[in-house]
Amino acid sequence: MVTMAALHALTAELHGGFLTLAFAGILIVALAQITVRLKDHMPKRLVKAAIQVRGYTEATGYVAAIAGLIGLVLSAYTGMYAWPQDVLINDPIIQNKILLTAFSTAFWIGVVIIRTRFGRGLWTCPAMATLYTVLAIAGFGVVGLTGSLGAHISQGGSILDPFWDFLRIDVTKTMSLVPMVAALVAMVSVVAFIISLAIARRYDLFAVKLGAETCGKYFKWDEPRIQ
Amino acid sequence: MHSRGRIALLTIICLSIVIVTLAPSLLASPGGVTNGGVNNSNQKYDCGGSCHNAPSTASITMWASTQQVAPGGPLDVIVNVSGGQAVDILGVMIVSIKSPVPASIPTVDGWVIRSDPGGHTFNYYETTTYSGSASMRWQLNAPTTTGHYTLHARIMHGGGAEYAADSTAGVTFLVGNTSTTGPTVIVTAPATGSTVKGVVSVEATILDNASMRYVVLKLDGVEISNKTNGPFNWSLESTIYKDGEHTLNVTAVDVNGKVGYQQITITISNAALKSGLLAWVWTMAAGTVAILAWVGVLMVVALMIRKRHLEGGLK
Repeated sequence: MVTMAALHALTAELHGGFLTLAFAGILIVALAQITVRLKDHMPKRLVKAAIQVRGYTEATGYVAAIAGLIGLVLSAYTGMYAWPQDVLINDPIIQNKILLTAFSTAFWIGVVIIRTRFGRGLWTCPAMATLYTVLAIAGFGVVGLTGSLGAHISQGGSILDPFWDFLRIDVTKTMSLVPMVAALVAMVSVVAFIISLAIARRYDLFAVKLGAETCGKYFKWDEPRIQ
Repeated sequence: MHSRGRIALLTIICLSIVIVTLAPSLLASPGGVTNGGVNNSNQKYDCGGSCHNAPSTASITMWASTQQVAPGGPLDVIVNVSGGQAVDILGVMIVSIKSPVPASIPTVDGWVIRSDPGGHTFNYYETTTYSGSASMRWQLNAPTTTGHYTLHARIMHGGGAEYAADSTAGVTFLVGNTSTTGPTVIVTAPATGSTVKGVVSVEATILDNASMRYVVLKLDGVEISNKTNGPFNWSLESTIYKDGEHTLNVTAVDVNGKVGYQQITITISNAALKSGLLAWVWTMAAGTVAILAWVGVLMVVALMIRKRHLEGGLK
């Protein structure tokens, strides 16, 4: 019989692999965009290769982000049943792992929402492309930190311990805010979101389609010739 | 290029370099943590100051040829190990206390090790041919002083793999008084006087010549569980009880109607657990909401920037 622990290991590998691929894909497109933007100062072959590569990796990054997000949710689900419940709620390291998993899921949800809503045209708008890339970097970074906590659980330590020490975070203690402070953070964030929605509605921002023509032509998007 | 766009691109490049540099280490397994038990010898619980800290996934069971023995009487203890991390070196030790003190070596308690799995008289034995299953036998003589004694087993994987595991409760022995007139109950966990929280594992060993009719677990005199067969282990959800001192009682009644019990005192302290859990849940919920909300805000900001560029006639 396949145990939940085995399924958790499987889904953890799955989301780790897909999200790494998504992160790499998005990062490559970002670098390719920079290369194309600076084409006057770059070798022609490099520019040509960048146009080709971004065409492939852009879609790869998107699909991998969706698959990774599904893997992340499945990993969280199987993880909830892989250990006894009392261990889950009593072990600070596991609590921290669950906390960071929730945060990384939120970051990757942001990535998928942006790409789904705006399509590949988002790469023609510097601000949106920056937000998309930064979210992918943050999501991947938090997934990595979650993996470090996994190493603490299974191995008793992680090679990232100097990083935690540098941040003066003791991973064996539950990372938490005072409930009042947490509630305040959530409330301020929700209010900011509601205000931004009102602004978006007032200026009809969500009807916008991103593309080279509507983004000030910072980045063009020449489709690669698929051979 | 517009300066803001340039700053954004430079930020992406810098962050990318940092992340790509860190990525291999993020995904890699950690390196060495601690050392382990070395060579066959008498070793205290911490393997002579070089103990492994990470948990092994191995399963350990202990078996004794008898749990009631005359003072100085012979008996065998077998430690069975299965599974665990795939390394060739496996060290197994028997100890009388699970604490890194010299008194953890069974001979300090009065045990005599007649023969270990290697034919010597040590409490620690190491094999270099472990392949997922091992059975190791110690031949012992019981202490000469009557009383209750417990032996635990601890295993260590070697070869730099660095994992350790303990048998949970070990095996408890009654030395002397073998013609007991009723069941002897020994509550092996939790320790008397200990402070507990969350789900508490209660473990009891019952020694008797006759089989059990039933064994009852009570908290403050109120029956919680009733078992007729071993193992006599229970999971006690302590969060439903008030914080403070409580009495835990395990009473055994054998088929002859003879009764034995042990009562211990424990202190339940869940206030910190409950408030910590609440803070953790709040942090997780608030953090997730905040991330999603600010992603939405930043999307609007990005669209506003685009709009301003268009209206400003930027090219």
